[in-house]
Amino acid sequence: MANYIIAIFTILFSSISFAASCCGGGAGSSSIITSDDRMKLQFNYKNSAYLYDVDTDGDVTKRSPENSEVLESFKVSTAYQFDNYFQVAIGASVSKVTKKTSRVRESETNIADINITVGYEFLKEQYFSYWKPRGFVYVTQVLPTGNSKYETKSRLQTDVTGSGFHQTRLGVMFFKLIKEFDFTLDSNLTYYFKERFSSEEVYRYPTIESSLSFGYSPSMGDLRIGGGAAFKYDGHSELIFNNGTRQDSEGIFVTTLNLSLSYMLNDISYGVTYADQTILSGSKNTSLERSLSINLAKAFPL
Amino acid sequence: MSTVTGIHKILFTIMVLMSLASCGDSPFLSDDEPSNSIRGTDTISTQTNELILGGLQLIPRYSATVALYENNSINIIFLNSVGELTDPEYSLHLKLWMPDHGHGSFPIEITKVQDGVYKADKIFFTMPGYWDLHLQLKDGESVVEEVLWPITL
Repeated sequence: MANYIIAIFTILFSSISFAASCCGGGAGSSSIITSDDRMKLQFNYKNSAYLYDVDTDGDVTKRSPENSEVLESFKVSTAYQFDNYFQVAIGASVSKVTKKTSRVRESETNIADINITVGYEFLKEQYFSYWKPRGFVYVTQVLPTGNSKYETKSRLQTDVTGSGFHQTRLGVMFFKLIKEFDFTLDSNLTYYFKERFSSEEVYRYPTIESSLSFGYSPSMGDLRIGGGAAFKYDGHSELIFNNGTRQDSEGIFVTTLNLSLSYMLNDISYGVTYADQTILSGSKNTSLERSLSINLAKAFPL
Repeated sequence: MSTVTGIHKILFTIMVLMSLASCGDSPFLSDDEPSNSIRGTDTISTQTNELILGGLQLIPRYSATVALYENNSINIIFLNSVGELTDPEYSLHLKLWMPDHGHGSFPIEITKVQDGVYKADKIFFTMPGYWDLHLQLKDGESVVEEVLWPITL
């Protein structure tokens, strides 16, 4: 039963990363397996509404109810553990962006960025310990298969579903299960390769992301109640246009709180996650969203 | 087992249909009134000092209240030192740019109405926040001179 709990929270945890509305991206944290399973397959539907905007000084303004911006995504991911230490995961998603007022509406559905992850368990739990966690290190390669804001063709940029950059992410995750409680700490650093677009060349500074989550499974049963917080800093970008002029953007900082509920039934976990970026302060230069995710995941045992 | 398998198929199908047939709405959208600083597209925040471009006085004016996501237009006139409508020496171009986020918007169309009078169309503000409207004089692809006209939505 403990393995199922682990599988549940890991699956839910992997859908926490977000992105500002203008900028696509948000390829997500790793989707690696932390349970004793050979493989896992996951489906996720997420509905996000952008409700507030924060400027570079941290001043927050609420959007008018007449103007709505909604992001919906459907993600499929799978992970395979091929020995006691190494595993590989791949995830792909389709995003639909809708912007509308009382007079206009624009909506587009496009594929988003694809990510491929290789994970390695460097800290195994080979004997019982109250304090020693399991540790994983992972490398994720993000392929810019989505449309970026630098190449957008739609009037309201509703075709933006990706960052536009090849990215390499290096992360470390620690997990600990103590009776009915589980804890996870994940930190990662993303490096963006310089990219040339039709009008400019862009270098984007790295992203640092860290999250802490916990869960409670009453009587170590099939139900898990979870929560967590995530903090993400996106470095600024340097743009050099074809005419030689240069412009720099500002960095982005966003905080997210989430609550989740999941239930395991015959090797399938069903979960729902509510995430809110409007609760914690400190966000800067971004749009703030609230989202609801529905997860369906199946783990295949060793 | 067949019943459980059937339930799984139904749930999966529902998820697929939700995503494919979703109408772009969200349970989080509400009718709550916005804060004052975002409410007023009739309180455009923009600089009021004189704009000079190509040695001429440049007077841009939005043709109607600026609206997010909608097609906005600007009427632009160039005046010489004695107040006469005068064409600039180079071609006029406009570019919308959000400096903090590092992205622009849909290409703006410029139409000459008469000497010294232009209309800029297809100005789309794709999100709230601070925008710079770059008013440029170009010689071919090279920007000869540029002034910024900011706006905060």
